[in-house]
Amino acid sequence: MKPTTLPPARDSVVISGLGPICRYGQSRGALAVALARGAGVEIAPLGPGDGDSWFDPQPHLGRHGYKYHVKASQMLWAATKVALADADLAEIEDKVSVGVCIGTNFAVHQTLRGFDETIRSVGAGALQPMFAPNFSVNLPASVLSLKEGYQALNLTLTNPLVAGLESLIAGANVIADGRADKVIAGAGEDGAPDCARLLGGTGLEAAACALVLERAADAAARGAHAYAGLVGYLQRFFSPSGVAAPLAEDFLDLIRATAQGTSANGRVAKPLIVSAPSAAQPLARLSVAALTEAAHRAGLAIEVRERLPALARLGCAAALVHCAVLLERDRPLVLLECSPYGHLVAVALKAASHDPEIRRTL
Amino acid sequence: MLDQRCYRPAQTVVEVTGLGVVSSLGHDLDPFWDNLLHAAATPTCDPGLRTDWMPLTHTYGITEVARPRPGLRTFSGSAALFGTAAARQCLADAGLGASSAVNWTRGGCVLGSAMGDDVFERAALTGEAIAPQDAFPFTLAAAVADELGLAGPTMCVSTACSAGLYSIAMAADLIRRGEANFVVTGGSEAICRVAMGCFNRLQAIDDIVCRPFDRDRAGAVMGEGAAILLLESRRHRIARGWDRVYALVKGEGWSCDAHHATIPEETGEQAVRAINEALTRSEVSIGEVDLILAHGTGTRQNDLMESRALRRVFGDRTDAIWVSGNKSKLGHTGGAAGAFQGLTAALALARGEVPPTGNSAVKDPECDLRLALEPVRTPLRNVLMNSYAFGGNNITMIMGRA
Repeated sequence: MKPTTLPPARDSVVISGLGPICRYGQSRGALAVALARGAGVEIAPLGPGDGDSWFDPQPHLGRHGYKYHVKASQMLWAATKVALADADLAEIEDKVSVGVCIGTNFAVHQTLRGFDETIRSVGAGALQPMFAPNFSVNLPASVLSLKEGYQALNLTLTNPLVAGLESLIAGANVIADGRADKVIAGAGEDGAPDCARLLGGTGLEAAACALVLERAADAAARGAHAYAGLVGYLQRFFSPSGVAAPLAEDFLDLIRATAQGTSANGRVAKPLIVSAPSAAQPLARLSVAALTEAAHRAGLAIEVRERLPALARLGCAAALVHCAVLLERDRPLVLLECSPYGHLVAVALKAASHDPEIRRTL
Repeated sequence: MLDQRCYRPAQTVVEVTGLGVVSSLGHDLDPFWDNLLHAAATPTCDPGLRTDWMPLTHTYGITEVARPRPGLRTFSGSAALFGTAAARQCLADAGLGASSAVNWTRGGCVLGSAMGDDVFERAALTGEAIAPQDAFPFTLAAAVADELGLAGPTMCVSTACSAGLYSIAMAADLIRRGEANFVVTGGSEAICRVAMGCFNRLQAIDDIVCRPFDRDRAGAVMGEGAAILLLESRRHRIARGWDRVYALVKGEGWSCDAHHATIPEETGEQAVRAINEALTRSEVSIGEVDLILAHGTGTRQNDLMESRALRRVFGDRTDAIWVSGNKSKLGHTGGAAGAFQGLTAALALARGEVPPTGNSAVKDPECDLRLALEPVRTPLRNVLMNSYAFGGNNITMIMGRA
């Protein structure tokens, strides 16, 4: 199956705001500085309650309005505030045209287990009515609409580990399909130390990342900076018990899509491919090998890098948090995420200054 | 809001060419349909939920005896079991099998589930060890794709109780965008102890039976099962020489109330927007809709809001359109509920029959709809479905006769 290339005729969708919230930083700039200083290379085992004690919602959200929301909801809302500020969109007037697309795997995982323990030990009557709606995994995404008034749509995607990148794809498509003018795409996770084996033994940490998506022309009209445009994506499923089909040809178009165009100084930009850690994800290892082979055969220069070990344990938020830092570097980017169940998602982003169409509108 | 800068009518015709079902009404299409039309389905107490844990434990459940055991290779949660059993049935119904000469990398899988799988809940009771592959709750789409050999885009949608209909809409979009030739879609849900506990705590369960639009309705009653549809591009269906088409997926409208976590916005403004957008995208006029499959949970607020929204859109024409709520027979199957609506719409269009809304003894005068209280035999042109959810997530879809 060929990757999907978003056609220019449907208008370029760009990322105009980035809001990462994780242990290593609570803004794009802070995270970049922390990682540049070596944070996240060495990771310590997580203990009970370790996953989110660093996060204080008050600086982001004020003193009220989040008491009955789970940590992942608070973080996603905070990440959205950060991303909106980054996009110079502190207030959006036309909220009926703003959509929300969120990926999560474990946002309410600990909440559900706590509820179940309460039900089995004391009874359902002991659940707090104000907190009870949090049993639903779509509440973190819904909180963004409830708090910010976004009415175009509200999606929650839950495929293991790839749901964050899927939210980016879904967000771009709902804009291209005319269902929304702007989308808050992102991912949010709560800590889940008992799911360590799923993530290669590292445990899951709480984190969130929100991205503001909009049409390039709309960003240009309000004089906003666009980090990158979405130029293509690939979604595949490989049965864990089956044989992986050849991937090389599938990837080639994605790399080509990012490699087209030149940077501001006239040189061809070399795409950076960032994958899930191959030690934890055999499918990532297979994919990187196929991608490298495809690029080599086509004579395309690429750089392949694995995600930092510490970021890898941010669940389905990992790829987006990493993206928030990498987009600063003004170069084409392919984000590759896999799951041990067989999901493979790749998203190709082209830095705004490299895309003739985006550059023209900006 | 329907942005005319981008919206263009879809050029690709999306067809429903296969159906599969696992439900409290039966695990095959014929008994399911017969019971949906004629059986007086009533909920029964689920012994696994225990009344010392919560006051109300009655559900439209699938009994252990009837529960399918399809012998999955890697997944064992109830939602995955229901989903894979129904999906295999669906593919066979569409004349597709492992040996079919189709490109499986062009086969997608988009499925909805609100709660995912129940492995942790079961393990908490039985003390059984959780296998590593079961540590993740949302394995439904992976389980079905793995079982059927689907290698295209695979997504799990969890927009609470509208997840099933959102999944069908997103599956149709994959075909419209040319990303897949066919997509296995729908939803699957198993009775969840935590969800039941929370619905009890929120006093959102009717203590007798689910009775949508009834004057004395008092809440939802939970159900479980899987409804799976095969969507296919017309071009692909013709190329593989398959004739039977249940229905066409014409268009959808999406919106969000942005009002309250659990209570719908009472004027139904965003529900109205979703209905209008679905009509526009489908290029169907209000005079061409013959049946409405309502969300119809049986909660006071939902049924009132939905009635108002329908009346606002259809005006006097509302009096001429049959309305049916299948939760009266199936219970509220959460993330599968919209999928059951999709399956019901496809069968209603293909068979020219309207399933009745059960248990509605005294119609609520504030819910001024033309409820089908008995099965109605009539040709149908278009069926409109509403699906709403926690967080105010709304979707309306229109399916048409093939």
